[in-house]
Amino acid sequence: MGQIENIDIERLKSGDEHEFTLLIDLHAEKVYNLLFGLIRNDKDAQDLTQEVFTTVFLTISQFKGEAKLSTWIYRISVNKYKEHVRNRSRKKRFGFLFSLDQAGVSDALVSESKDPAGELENKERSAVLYAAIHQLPEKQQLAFTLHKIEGLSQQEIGTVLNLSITAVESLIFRARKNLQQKLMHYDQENE
Amino acid sequence: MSMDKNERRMNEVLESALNSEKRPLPVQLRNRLIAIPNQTQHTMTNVPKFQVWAFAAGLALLIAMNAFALQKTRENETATVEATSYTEYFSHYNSI
Repeated sequence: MGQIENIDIERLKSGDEHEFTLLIDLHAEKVYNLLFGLIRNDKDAQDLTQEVFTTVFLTISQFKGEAKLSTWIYRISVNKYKEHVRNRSRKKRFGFLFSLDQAGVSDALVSESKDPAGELENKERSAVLYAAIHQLPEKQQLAFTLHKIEGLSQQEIGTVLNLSITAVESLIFRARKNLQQKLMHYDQENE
Repeated sequence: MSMDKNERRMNEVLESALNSEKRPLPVQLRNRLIAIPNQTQHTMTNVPKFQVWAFAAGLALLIAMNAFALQKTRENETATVEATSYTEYFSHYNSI
């Protein structure tokens, strides 16, 4: 198997800390951004990222190299996200208070731009888009986020979500249609 | 609003959202992630072999004692049944 994406898998499997640090530097930011894009809560995204990499560390011996290492990590991330959603709805059912961390959302949407007007516009656009993505059915949300925001190919998304390429195409198409409709409603309301 | 305009609008929103949205990995999160190998190895503490064998031997002794006790109980029960049968069979001698 040897080296994949500049990572020595055999050394990683033997628990080499330097190789694990390399893996984190290559993939942690992508995983964190994916999870943040899906959850919209910084603390939860950080905790889930840690869970993802703990799972990666503990189960790397099961990685057979049939898919890309990044695809395998995305798959773990998606499973952790689904688990998180299930736990969240269970908590809701038991009457715990849950609210989308609006502070987290707004913090996240602050861009690095020095132009306050542009920043505000970007912030609003991001908020609208992510609110719309958040309302999509789970599979559409995942397919669209992985494709448009993470830049994964349809084949890679198929491997991550365990779906055929045709199914992925259909999910992305329906997600686009749904988002267009939601954005249209938003525009009509604000005109 | 036409479909083309809709498409353009969504691409615009996506574009601007993507530009402002990429967040760098927080330093404290990176530190937490790098510490995973150490933390995981600490939690997987090995149980000494002596303790494992002592536990297994204790369990085997308990099972052996139970089997012995069961066997003794059965022997006593058989002896009692036999004694009762003899007593009942020769009970008419008592009246003679």
